Formats: sequence, C-alpha cells, structure tokens
Amino acid sequence: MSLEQRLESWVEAGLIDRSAADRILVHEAKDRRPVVLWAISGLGLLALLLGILLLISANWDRIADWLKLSVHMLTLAGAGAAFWWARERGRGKLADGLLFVFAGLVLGGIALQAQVFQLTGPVWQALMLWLAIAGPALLAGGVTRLTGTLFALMAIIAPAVMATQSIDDGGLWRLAQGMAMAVPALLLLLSMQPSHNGPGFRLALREAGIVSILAGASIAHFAWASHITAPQALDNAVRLAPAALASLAAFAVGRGPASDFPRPLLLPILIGPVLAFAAALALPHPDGAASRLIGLVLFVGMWIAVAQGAARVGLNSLFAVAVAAIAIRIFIVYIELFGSLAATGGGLVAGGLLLVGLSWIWHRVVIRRKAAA
Amino acid sequence: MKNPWLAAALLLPLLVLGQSMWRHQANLSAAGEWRIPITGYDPRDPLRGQYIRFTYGWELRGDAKPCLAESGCHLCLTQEQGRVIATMETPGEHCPARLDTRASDLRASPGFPSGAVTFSSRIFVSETSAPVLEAQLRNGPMQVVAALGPDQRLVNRRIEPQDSGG
Repeated sequence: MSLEQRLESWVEAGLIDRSAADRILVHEAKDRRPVVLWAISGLGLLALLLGILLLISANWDRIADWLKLSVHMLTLAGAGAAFWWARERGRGKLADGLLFVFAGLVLGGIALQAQVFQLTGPVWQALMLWLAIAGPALLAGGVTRLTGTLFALMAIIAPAVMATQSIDDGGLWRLAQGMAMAVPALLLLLSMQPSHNGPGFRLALREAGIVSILAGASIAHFAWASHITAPQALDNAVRLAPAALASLAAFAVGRGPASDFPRPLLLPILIGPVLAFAAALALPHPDGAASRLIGLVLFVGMWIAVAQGAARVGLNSLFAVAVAAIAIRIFIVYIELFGSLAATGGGLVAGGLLLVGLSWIWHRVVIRRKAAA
Repeated sequence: MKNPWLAAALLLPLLVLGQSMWRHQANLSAAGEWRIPITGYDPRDPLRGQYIRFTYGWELRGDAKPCLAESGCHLCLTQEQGRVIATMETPGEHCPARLDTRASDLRASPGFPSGAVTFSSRIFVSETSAPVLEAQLRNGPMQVVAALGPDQRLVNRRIEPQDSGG
C-alpha cells in the first residue's frame, strides 16, 4: 500500500485529520528519491560497463601484453590517487567506493598476470596474495560498510579456501587451518574498539564475525553423526588451538572498558562456539544415538545462550536466527529418530511441543520488549 | 599520523604487482624459444573457458613414471635433427634447458604402451582468433611456441601450423 493510500485510510479511520495527512505528504515528498529513474540509469551504466568489458574480452589476445599490464597498473595507481584525493577532501563515501575499486583492481591484476605469464597454482594462493596486499589498504582506509564487508569476506574466504584445499595435509598445515578458523574471532576483536575506521566498517566486521563463528560451530555439529577417532580428535584439537586463543583474546578485549561489544553476547559468541566445536570434533566419539543426542543438546544449548544474549541486548534479528536454528534442529530430530511408528510419533509429539514452547517464549520476549519500550 | 601507514598500504599492491611483473618479464626475456609439435588437442570447452588443451608431441626418453606423482619431475629439453627431445633429468648431468613440470603446470598422464607418459597443457584463445585456429587444428599438424626461462617454467605463447617456420 502506498503512503497516500495509508494516509487516506488513517483519515477515514479518524486517526489523523486531513491537514495532518497533507503535512505528512509534503514532508515525505522532500525526501522522496526518484528510485525508478536511478534504477534505469543504473541499468544503462551497467550495460555500458559490461559492453566495454565484453569488447575488450573479445579482442583480448589482439591486445599486446605490455599494453594490458600497463593500462592495469595505471588504472590501479589512478584509483589509489583518486581515493587519496577524495579522502583528503572529506568525501568519505566516494573515497570508500574508490578504495573498493582499488581492492578489486588488485585482484584483477593478480588474475591478469596469471594469464599473461601463464602462472598456475591453487586458487587459495591468489586469494591469500590478494588479502596480503589489498587487505592493509582496506584496513587502514576503509570507513563504511562497503569496504568493511569486502575486507571481512576476503579475510574469511581466502584462509577458508586454503584450509579446505589442504585439509588432507598434516604437520604445520593443521596450524594454518587453525588460523583460518581463528579469523571470525579476530574480526570480532578488530570490531570491538573505536578506531579510525567508521562505525559502518566495524559493524560489517562484527556481523561477518558473528555469522561465520556461529555458522562454523553449527557446521561442526554435523560431526556428531560421524565416528571421530582419537587421532582425528588430536588433529582437530591442534586446529582448534589458534581459534581458541583468538576467541579468548577477543573475550578479554571485549570485557575491557574501551570495548563497545555487547557484554551479554561475549560468552555465547566467543566461548560457546569454541566449546561446541571442541566437543564435536576434538573429543573421540562413536556415531550412535547417544552421541547424536549429546550433539543435539549442545547445539540447542549453544543457540539458547545466543538467543538469551540477543534478547538482553535487543538484537531482534540475531534472536530470530537463534530461534530458527533451534527450530530447524528440533525438526531434524524427527528424521533422526525415524524408526517405528511409536518412535516417530513420540519424536513428533516431543519436537512439536518444543517448537510450540519456543514460539511462546519468542512471543513473550517480543511482548516484554515492546512493553519496556 | 595514520596517513603514512595508509600511503604505504596503498603503495604495497603497486610495488608487489610491479615487482612480480618485472620478475616474470625478465625471466621471459632470458627465455629460450621452443617450437614443440602438439597432438591430441581438445576442442574448446565453453564451460572451462576459452582454452585449448593439447598434448606435447616431443620424444620422451627415460623412465617418466615419477612425473605422475603430484610433486612432478624435471625434464631436459634438447633438439636433435629438428626434433624436440624431453629426457628425464639425471642427477649431476648438465642440462641447459631444464623444465619443471609442476611449475609449468603440465599434466602428466599414463600413456600407451604401458609405462609411457604423456604431458598436456593448455593455452588461452580469444573469441576472435578461435575460428581460424580451430580450422588450422583440424587441417594440419600444429606446434606450440613456448618460452623456457631460468625459472624452469615452460610458458606457452601461441599455437601455429608446423610449417610456419622455426
């Protein structure tokens, strides 16, 4: 329903008078943006950009290598200089956009050199190089959510791809894989104290850290449906060590006076997932009904702690995600317990009651928060 | 106070990419050019990008089974009466054109007869030059022009008909 229609219905219902409705319309018209116009011109610019890219691609091997490399280096230097210029003149958003382009061009340069000089190797090497040489610029100059999100994605994806591709390698690779697991906690650590980066940048790091740490611990939970041998548990314990240390460091900084990280979320976000991971992967256990039940209890316990912390600090979206995670896990119990009619029926009854109870608690929390507001 | 760090951070990618470009270019400048017959090429696969994969048609000497391992092996390239010979490297023996199969990303596969090993690689081909090249690949014997530099990487530069000279 449009604003005009809503105002008309409010006037008809006697909630506001006609003059108030007119004043609201005038006020809203001031901030109204020509979204359709922007969308059409944006589409045109996108088509133009794609067209130029395709024309260059179609004639790629007719363009001399030195020309490609030179144009790229000049464009990269130009983007860096334009970023500096915009930043010095206090045009923060423009500067951040240019920094984003600068970082993108660095990745383009790595790919271009790989093609021109026929360089080959695992993808993670290129991604780690990108993180190593473009990451510092984002960290030193990023202000808004745009560059914060890019930095967080680079920091998570490059080590994660490295860890995945080297998962069968032992020795020091296990510590490297552990460093990849430590990234979410390190992002949270970076987001805890006010810095030269703007609040948008820090918020992007914080959100990415929370999402990846909880997603990682939830994925680790699947290990309860596998047989974890003693050697595997030892390997995983070594991998967990860097992540645990990073989480403890972030926890300590988060408790400090300079931190603006919500205190009620420190334990559920930084300690809970580490314990859940340790129990699922760093302790030997068989694949059996008892293991799966313990896994279920730990998973639900971890997410209940998150939900409780989110409710205390008023993070509705995180609270909703926690409730959804618990609900989905409880629903999966039906499938896990699928056996005789009686067992399935019992599972459905227990799970259904739990879900109804969960909905009731959610409703209570929302009502209480609205009443407090 | 933060500006010197920011300036250094902005210069870092320029310096690293510039140094990498200089290093690879210097290596290519010092590289010898090799014209190696190719066989068994795949047609371009749109799903894998515009690359042509081919097998080197050199004469392989020595037991190349170690090349099948992930760590790869070293081959010594020589020419005898116009033919390119790839010999398994013998420790202590001088080799003026040494090739590292792993660094060159050559794919080693068991060949026929039993015990033989074939080496394949790929080269990027743009949309505009692809039709001519595809026709040439169908019509006659082809060769790859490749550079083998001091870093022991064999870099494919272009594919051309074997009667193009060299």
